[in-house]
Amino acid sequence: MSKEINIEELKSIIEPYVQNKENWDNLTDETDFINDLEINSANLVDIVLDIEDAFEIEIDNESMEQMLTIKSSITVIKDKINNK
Amino acid sequence: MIGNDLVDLELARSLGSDKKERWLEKVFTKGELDLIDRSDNPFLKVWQFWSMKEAAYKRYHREYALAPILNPKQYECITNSKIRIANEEYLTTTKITENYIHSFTSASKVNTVGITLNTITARTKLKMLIAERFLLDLSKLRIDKDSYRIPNLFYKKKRLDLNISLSHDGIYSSYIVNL
Repeated sequence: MSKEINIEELKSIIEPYVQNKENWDNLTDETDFINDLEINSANLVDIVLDIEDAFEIEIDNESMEQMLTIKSSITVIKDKINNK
Repeated sequence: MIGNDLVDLELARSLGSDKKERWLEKVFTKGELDLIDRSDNPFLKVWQFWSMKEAAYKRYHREYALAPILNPKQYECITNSKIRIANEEYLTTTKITENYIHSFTSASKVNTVGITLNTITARTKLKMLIAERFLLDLSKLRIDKDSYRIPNLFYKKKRLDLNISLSHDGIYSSYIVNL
């Protein structure tokens, strides 16, 4: 069964690490964490950990590789929730 | 090919410590964690290894024109100056001060490295250096990143055949160029 993920919850996880507030205000699916939001690369790993906690999932290294945009993060989260 | 990375230590100290162990496990291999555990200053070792990984990542992605990816574990620090990625080993050079850690790796021995406070960014400094060296009009020099986020220098919209790498963190930024 496919469960919808709460985008607002995902946004609340990412927001504390965002450095480019202007692009944050114009967020789209394609928004890139490093290019657009200027998130520190060490913080990308923190985001992955916060997502694991919030959605009660485990993200392996292979899945983590793609978590550089909103869209790809949603894909990974959905995949992990549905395969729990 | 070339890559560099700078870590602002004050910023690094402020990074979330509540999930530090899990962060370390996502970033470092077992071998690296052993080296960190055995070091005199695990905090500095963590950030030295991180900066080595980032520098190596930039060089590797520049060399093979690769799309961005989040895979810190695939870069494994073997020593304080050697890192392995896939079938390659890169030599790295690290400078540690009270305020920052800077690492770089380069296929060429001739490099110019600069570290600046962000009041004058490394981008500006690098352009000034190139303008002076090649007698170019500074206002017509630009640094643009391609779709894979790899930076290049352009003069009057024509790409210059120069290897460059940029980094910024906290209040510092850095550049390296093969000249």
